[in-house]
Amino acid sequence: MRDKYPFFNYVTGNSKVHNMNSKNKVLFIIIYILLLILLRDKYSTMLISLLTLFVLYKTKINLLAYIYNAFRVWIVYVISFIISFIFSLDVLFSIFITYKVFLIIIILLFLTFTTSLSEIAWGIECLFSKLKKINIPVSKIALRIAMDIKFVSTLFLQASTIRKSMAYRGVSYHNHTKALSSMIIPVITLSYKLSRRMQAAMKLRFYGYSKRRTNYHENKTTSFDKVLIVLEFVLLYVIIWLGWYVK
Amino acid sequence: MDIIEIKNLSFRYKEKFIYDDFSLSIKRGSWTTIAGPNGAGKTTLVKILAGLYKNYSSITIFNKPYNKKNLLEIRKDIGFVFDVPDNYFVCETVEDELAFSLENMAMQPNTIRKKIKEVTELLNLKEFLKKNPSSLSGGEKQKIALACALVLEPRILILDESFMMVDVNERKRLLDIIKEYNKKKIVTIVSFTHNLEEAIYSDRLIVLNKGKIIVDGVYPSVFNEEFVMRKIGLEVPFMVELSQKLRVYNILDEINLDMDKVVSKLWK
Repeated sequence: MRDKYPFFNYVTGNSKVHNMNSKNKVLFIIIYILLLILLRDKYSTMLISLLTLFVLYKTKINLLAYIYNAFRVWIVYVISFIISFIFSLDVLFSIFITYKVFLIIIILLFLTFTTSLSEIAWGIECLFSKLKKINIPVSKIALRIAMDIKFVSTLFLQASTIRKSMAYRGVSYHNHTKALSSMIIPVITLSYKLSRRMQAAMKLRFYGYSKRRTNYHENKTTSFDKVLIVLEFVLLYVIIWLGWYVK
Repeated sequence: MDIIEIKNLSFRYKEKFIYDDFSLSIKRGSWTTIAGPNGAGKTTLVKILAGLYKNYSSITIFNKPYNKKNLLEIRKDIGFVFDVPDNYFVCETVEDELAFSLENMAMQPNTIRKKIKEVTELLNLKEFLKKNPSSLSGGEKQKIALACALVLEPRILILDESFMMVDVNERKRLLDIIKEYNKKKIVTIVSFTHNLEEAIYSDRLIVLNKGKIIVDGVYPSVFNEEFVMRKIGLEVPFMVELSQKLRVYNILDEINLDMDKVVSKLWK
């Protein structure tokens, strides 16, 4: 599972989600995160979970790949549970907050599994293109965000490589904490080297050559895109109504 | 006409001089192979030509000084294919990889699509377009790296140990394609290698050792100095060795790398 669906890596496919317009997909993700922020009641939570399941199913990617990768960052859930418990002293509320974090990770996996980095960059760029008028370098910021996402996936790949090379040399860890602490320095060193290499590659490939970038992707809005966005707006109305007005 | 001119280049890494007063000129439309053992300074020269080391002031390319001001303008006409293609990839599909440089140069989407189509047909890459470059085999990655360089339609193509990971048949096929490209589009090829077999494709062979040119000649007569190449640890092609041995017995007058001709001569 780790090799077939690496964390935050693009998975080639031809599903309706893969063929979505990248601008609409980025918009979908932004609204989704907004929905999670506004989410307060159990009925809306059930509805947003159903929407999540629906979009994941439409990617034609094994659901277990999402679950497996989401639990690779278990430490994030532990931290969010502890922090929310410290502030609220309410176990149910802390579980609710942790579940929201879990959904954010799932939806980011959904985005990265089904969208290549240049499409993510293009999607962000199109969505915020109006900011170019006030001289904000949207194209470069968008590409930087996409590259940062790739860097996260690279960190996980490096960790996996180091774990394997340690295993080849006869090192095996039963203690996760010990394994984590001994891998931190090699992961950071290798990732630093890799980021330097990537920087050189981008420089060689004319990144920053022109003030603007173009994108060759053909992006047509499909009816599936429209249905998803409309569903989100309906859900936004339901979340605000149930969570903020109905007592 | 010289397309690349290096005059009195000096480059040192920490305290060690890699190049000291090094000069070289390369003619337009030629295929020059620069061979040498490990540590000869091949990769350093490639990196200097790529502008990755800031010691490029002694270089003139396309009759323009290769300085900070002209660097990008000159480099857009130079294609690079490196020994480790993974270091070169930044995107997640081969198609995006091919488009990346062109998008950075702000080319129109239609032109990008046209150029991608052309290079895809030239190198037979259709089946790879939607794949992740990291999922491909070593040879396939090299092919994609070559495609990324050719899609820019460069005037100079620099190959740095580019076909190390490619099997013999595929290497021959790729070198044939490059040779054809070299002739058809009058592209200057500079190939850095330690495999002298590749020199068979070139017009000129330069052998480097410790930052100095020790052999510089035209193929195939350059192989008359095969003992120098052997001395620094380079493996001389089998046909060169055979020709030299047959010359000792006066069966051949000169080095001949065409096996069929040598066999027919032996048969007589």
